[in-house]
Amino acid sequence: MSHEASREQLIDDATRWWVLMNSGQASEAERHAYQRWRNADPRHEQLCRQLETRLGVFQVPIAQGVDGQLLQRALNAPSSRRKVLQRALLGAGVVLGAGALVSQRGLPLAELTADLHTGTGQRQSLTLPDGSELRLNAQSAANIDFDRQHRVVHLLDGEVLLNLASDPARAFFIHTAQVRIQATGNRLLVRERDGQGHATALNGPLDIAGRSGERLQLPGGHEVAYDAFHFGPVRPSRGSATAWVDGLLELRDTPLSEVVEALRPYRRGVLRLDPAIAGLRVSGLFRLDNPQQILDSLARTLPIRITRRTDLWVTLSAA
Amino acid sequence: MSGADTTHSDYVGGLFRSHYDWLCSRLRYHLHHSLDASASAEDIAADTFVQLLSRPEVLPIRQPRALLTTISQRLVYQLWRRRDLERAYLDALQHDDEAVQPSPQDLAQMLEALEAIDRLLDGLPAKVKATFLLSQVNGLTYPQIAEQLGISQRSVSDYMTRAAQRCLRLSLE
Repeated sequence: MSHEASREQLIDDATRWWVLMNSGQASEAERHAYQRWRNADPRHEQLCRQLETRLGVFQVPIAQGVDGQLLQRALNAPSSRRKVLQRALLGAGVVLGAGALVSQRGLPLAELTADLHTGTGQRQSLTLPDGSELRLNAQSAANIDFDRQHRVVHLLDGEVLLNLASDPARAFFIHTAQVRIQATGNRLLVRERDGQGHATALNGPLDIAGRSGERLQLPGGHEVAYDAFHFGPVRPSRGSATAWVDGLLELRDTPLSEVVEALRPYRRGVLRLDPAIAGLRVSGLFRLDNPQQILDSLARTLPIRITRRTDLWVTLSAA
Repeated sequence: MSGADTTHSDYVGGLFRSHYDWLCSRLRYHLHHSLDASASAEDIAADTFVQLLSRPEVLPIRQPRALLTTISQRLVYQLWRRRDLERAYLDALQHDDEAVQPSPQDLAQMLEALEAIDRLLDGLPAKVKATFLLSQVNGLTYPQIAEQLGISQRSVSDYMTRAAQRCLRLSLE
C-alpha cells in the first residue's frame, strides 16, 4: 500500500472511531476496542489528538451556554466577499468566475504568491481590467500588475496567451524569469518552464529583451525559443501553437520531444523520453484532456514502446 | 520569528520602506470602492508585514508586490468575514428570547471561536453543519439529532463523518 493510501486509510479509521464514540450509543466493548486501536500505533494516537485539539474550539460555546442552533444561524451569514469580489479582486480589478477564489483559504503561503494559477490539466481564461483577454495553460502561474502607467503580466511559470486591448497611454509588458517582452502587436503566446522559453508573435511584432541586455525584434507571425543565455533562430510560427486554448493538441511534423513537453502539464507523475526517439516526427489532432490516450495512439503509429511501472511513472523508448 | 533572525527582519524592513506606502494606497483604493469603511488601510498594511515577518520560509520573494497584495487580500477577506459573523451572531442573540446578553469579554471570546468554527465547517451543507453543532455543542445523541432534524440516523452518522473528516484534514495541513 502506498504511503498516501495508508494515510487516507488512517484518516478514515480515525474518523470512523470518532463518529462512533460521539454517537451516544457506543457500548462498553466498543469503548475498549477504541482504546486498544488508539494505543496500537502512535499515528492513531496522534490523529485522535489532532482532531480533539481542533474540536476544542467548541468548548467556548459550551462553557458560555450558547445554543448550537443559534451558532448555526450566525454561521449562515452571507459572505460580503462575493459581493465585492469583482471590485476588490487583485488590485487590477480582474474579472474572474465565481470559483476562482476557492483555493485562497487554507493554502500554504507559498502557494498563494501568484494571483492566478492553474493545476494539472486545468486552463483558465479571464478578462483583464483594460479588456485584454488572458488564457493560462495548465500548470501555469501569473501575476497581474496594472497601474496608471503600465500594464504588466508576470508569467511565473507555464504558458499564457494574450489578446491585447489597445491602450496608447499604457504599454503592455510580459515579464518572465528570463526575458522582458513589450508587445506592439495585439496577440502573443509566451511559454517558459525550467528556464526554457518560447515566444510567438501571433499578430504584430514583439520586442524581447534578455537578462544580459541582448534584444530581439520578433516580427509578427514568427516565433523564437530562448534560454538564459541566448535566443534561438527566428522561425515562422505554426498556427497549431494555440490549439490548447480549445483543449486540443495539434501536431504537424512535430518532434516527439515537443509533444512530451506539451503533455506534461496535463498529466501527473513522471514522463521519461528516451533521447534516441526524441526527434521522431508526429502529426495529428488530439484531445489534451486524455494524455494517456495520446500516448497510446502514438505507440500504435510510431516505433516506440511505452513502459508503465505505475500510472505515475511512464517511459517512452525505442521499440 | 526568532529575535536573532536579523537578516529576515532586515529584509522585511527593506520591503516595508519600499512598499508600505504603495500597499496603503492600494488598500485605501479598494476599501473605498468596497462597502466597508471600518477597516483601516494602514492596519491591514501593517498586519501584512507582520505576517511576512513571521514567515521566513517564503523568502526570497521574487514579486514582493504580488505577495503583499495576496496577503493583504486575505486579511481583508478575513476582516469582512469576521464582521459578517459578528453582525449575524448579535442579530441571532437579539432574536433569541432565552439567550442572555453576554459580557464584552465573553462576546469577544465567542466571536473568536465562531470564526474558527466557521473555518472548520466552511463549505459543508447546512444540514451537515446543523448535525455537527447539535452533537458537539448541544451534546445530543445521534437518535436525538435524527429526531430533531427529521432525518435518518444513517444520515446523522454520514454527516458526522463528513464534518469530522474535514476537521481532521484541516488539522493535518
